[in-house]
Amino acid sequence: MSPKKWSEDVSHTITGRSTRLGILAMAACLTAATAAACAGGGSAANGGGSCSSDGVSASEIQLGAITSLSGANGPAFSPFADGVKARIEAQDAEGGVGGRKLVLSTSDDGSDVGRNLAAARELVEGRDVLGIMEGSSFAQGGGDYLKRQGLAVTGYAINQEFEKNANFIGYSNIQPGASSSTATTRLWGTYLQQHGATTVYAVGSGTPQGARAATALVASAKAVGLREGVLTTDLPAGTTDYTGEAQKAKQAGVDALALPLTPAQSLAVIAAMRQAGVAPKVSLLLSGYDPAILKSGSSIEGISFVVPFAPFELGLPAHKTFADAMAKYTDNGRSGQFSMAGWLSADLMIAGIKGAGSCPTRDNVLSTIQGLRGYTADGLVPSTDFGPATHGTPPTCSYFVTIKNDAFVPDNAGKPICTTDTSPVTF
Amino acid sequence: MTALIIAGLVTGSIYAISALGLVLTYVSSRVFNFAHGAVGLLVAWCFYQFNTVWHWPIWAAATVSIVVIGPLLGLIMWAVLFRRLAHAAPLVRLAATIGLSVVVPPVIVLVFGTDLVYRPTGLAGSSTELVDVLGVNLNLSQLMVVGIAVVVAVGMGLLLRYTTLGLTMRASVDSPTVAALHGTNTDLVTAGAWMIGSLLAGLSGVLLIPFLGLETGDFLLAFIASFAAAVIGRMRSLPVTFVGALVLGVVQETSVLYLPQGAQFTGLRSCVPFVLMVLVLVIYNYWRPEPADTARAMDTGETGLPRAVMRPVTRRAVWTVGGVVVLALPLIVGGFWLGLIALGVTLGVIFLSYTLITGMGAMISLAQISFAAIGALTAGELATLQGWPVALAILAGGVVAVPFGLLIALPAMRWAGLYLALGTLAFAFLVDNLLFKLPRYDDYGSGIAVDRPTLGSFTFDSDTSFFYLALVVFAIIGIVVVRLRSTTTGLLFGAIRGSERATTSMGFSVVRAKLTLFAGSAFVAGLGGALYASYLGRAAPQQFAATVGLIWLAVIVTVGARSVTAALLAGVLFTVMPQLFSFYLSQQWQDVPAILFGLGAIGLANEPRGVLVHATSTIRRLLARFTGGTDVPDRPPPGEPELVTAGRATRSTP
Repeated sequence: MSPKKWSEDVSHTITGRSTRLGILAMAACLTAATAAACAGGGSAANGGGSCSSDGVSASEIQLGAITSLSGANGPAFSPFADGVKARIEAQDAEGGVGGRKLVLSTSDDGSDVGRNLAAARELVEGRDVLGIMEGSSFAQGGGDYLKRQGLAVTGYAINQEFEKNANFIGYSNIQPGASSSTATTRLWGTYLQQHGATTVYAVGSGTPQGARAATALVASAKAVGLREGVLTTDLPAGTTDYTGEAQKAKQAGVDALALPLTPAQSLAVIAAMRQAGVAPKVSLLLSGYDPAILKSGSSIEGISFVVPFAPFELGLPAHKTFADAMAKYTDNGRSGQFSMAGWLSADLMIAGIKGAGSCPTRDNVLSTIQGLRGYTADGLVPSTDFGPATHGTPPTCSYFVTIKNDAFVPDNAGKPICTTDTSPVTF
Repeated sequence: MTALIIAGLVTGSIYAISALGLVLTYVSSRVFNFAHGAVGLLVAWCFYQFNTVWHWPIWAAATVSIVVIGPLLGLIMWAVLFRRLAHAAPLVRLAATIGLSVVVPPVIVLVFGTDLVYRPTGLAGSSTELVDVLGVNLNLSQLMVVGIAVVVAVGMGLLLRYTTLGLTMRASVDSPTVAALHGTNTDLVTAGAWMIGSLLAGLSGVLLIPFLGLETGDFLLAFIASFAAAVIGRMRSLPVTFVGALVLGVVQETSVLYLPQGAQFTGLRSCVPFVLMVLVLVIYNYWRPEPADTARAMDTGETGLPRAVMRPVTRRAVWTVGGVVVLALPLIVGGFWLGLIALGVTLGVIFLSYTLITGMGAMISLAQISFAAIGALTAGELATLQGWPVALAILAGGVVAVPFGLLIALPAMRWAGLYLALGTLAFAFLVDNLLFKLPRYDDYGSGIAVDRPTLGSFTFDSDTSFFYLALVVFAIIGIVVVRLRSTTTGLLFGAIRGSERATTSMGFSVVRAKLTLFAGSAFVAGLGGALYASYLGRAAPQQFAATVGLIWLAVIVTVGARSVTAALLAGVLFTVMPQLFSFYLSQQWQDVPAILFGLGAIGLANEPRGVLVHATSTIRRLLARFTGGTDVPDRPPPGEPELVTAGRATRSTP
């Protein structure tokens, strides 16, 4: 092979289609970047009408949604955006709020902290929104920024921002996870105890958050007098086989599983336990309440789930409104935990805008939400008084469902299960 | 203990299945395919679609996905990409396969949608049959993985060693010319090897469905952990790889008995494969008389911007106009777009560390993101927890990264090419799992706060001021990098790239030069990382994940690893492009930026010097044609060696 000349290389690459494609794309982006920049820089508050503030004009109210549509969390979280969209469109079908149409802009944070900040800024500065609905594990990216902006951020409170910042408000004010950053409650232990548990197994993914959630579940169990069987806090990332975990549980005589893992991981753990001959009286999953899990094909009988809203199986009128709107306004109409979280986040925002009167502003929408009392989202969440008392605290009451004959059956006849001793359990 | 060992053997077999495919591909093509896991995942999705969604019987779904689609993918990859890569430099090969691994997951989303799949079934279907092995119940999927791992290790080992096909395959890779002279159609043989390689990737993918589900993240992580086994097998031996994978599984599973538990140590067990990988790399290379593969690895196959080819007047004009536009950006661009660009410039500073280590030193480092993380954490620790002035803490971020750079540089002296890449990747995962898993820095995923720097009473709070600050930092480092090229050290690197041995024999210290370069690049990355975190307001773990470092490398190599301008452009494109799509196009386009970056990296097969070089020469040609003037020939600047592709003699211009 003779050495190619530089110029030959260039002429060769000019015919290289994929490179050319890349360059065209980049060139297009650069052109678009300039245009975008001009447009972005020039945007200002919508004028018109006697009342105008950030995101509010005579005829429209701009709202934003942030979630992970792409990246690692894309598949799980994208229904959140559908839920928000359905609720907003349903409101617009009723004429909007105060004669103004709600206009939604959704921004993808790509499962990335940096892009979460960019998404937040895009909505606040580029779209000039009145409020934001957020469901993302990466909310810390834009957290400080949105805190400084002081506008209402309603959402799925799975992130510490919903505990730290007063303007980040979970749709039922509390945060739905195993614990807050400081404490847990006796709720989890109470549920396990009611199902005859004595010795508990908990496992967290090998992250500090996962470890803390697993530790919180064990602490909650111990607070009601149950025994710690196995607590694993260093599950390696990308763990594929749970035979070892099952063996440890078997030796410890475990009869209850508490699993703050992804639904797929939890099901794998349960399968491994069954395989090893561990027969838990109760297996509690902190996430995974989704119709899709019923079609998973694996043995799921008897598994229980925490449900952070009134379970679909109760068939309340609000559930029907939700399902109809999902079918009408979204592409795949998938009902599940995340789409409902999106719906509820938007519902809380709408409640705030309605309560803010004829001239909603970022400030008065936030204060209205913080002042809501006895809010139930048409019965979808337990009656909630917003405000600092329960803001970002771990739950003392929750709905639970258990799979019986391949269907979700609400526990406690569809009423929330609560702990009588609501004092915090620190660990 | 017995139970844990048996569990470890199962885990080990899972690693084995993925590692064996990797090694086979490497043996038969000399390409370490980072996208091996992604291809496996794609085939696994096909199997799921046929079997679960369309209700085909398992045998039919398996045959079509593994035996038809797998090899077909291999053939397509070979025709489009790897055929051109066989003679490319290791850096280009690596970046291109990383690009492919970036492209595949969003393509899977486009093809198969985003529906959640919880417990998909694999080749064993929904069988619940259990077999008792020394008191541990194993299911059919587990037994299949163990069995097939053995069959593949032995079968493929025999195939490569004793059959004509295997020998031809190895000959075609080791010496294509000699093989061709013997009448072998080397193209046909390598195409065949790729088809077998991706058949194995597909087989691994389908076999692993019951263990990994169809989760992209888990899939790719499990494959990366299995790299350790491939390293143990020295990328050559299938049986050793198999044994290595089993050892890895057993060590990881039984380590639970010895490792401390608690909030501080959540990442320890994840580190096992990477600690093993570093150890093995150090041991293997310690006894080896010479770093292997040196000549090829030293050659990036890529040169900097052909700056001297422009007429001095034109060059000055381009720089002046470019400089004015950049400086005036805050007047043209407002709002959060300027913020994105400012963030991009800080990322550009980090990318300058690649310009040093990869562009100048021709070394592939996947640990740059770890240096950036160390810089960011140092800044957070000192400014937020210890109360230092932020500007000083950011500078300290760069300084603290230096000893870590030297720490890697020492073993890296004897690593070259792929081994260096894997060693630095292991380091990146160790930093990821140890430093950022400390509750002090993780803070439940929120990371640690880093404020904006101040100068006297002035705080760089606004986007405009931060943009200029970042630009000044970038300019200072950029000028140093450009100047460095014409110093003795810079020229020394030119010589090392040409021939490490010749340089040593001329009495220059290659060791000192490499140490300097690693230290320098760690400093730049650390400083950039601290600045990056300061813009964002915090250093969060997800931001500095080792896997993000893979994408960074692909992006910088795509745009151009030797040019300072390319570093800036790569940084800005990386932050601005996704938001452009999100802002101006509908949600359906959300995956396009990732696909474009991936395609760009794959495009390196055609243009190893990066997009920027290609774009500038194309524009120049068009201009020349338009003005009717004669084009200045594409030639490297005097004194700079031309390194077009590996394996060729370097040529200095007269």
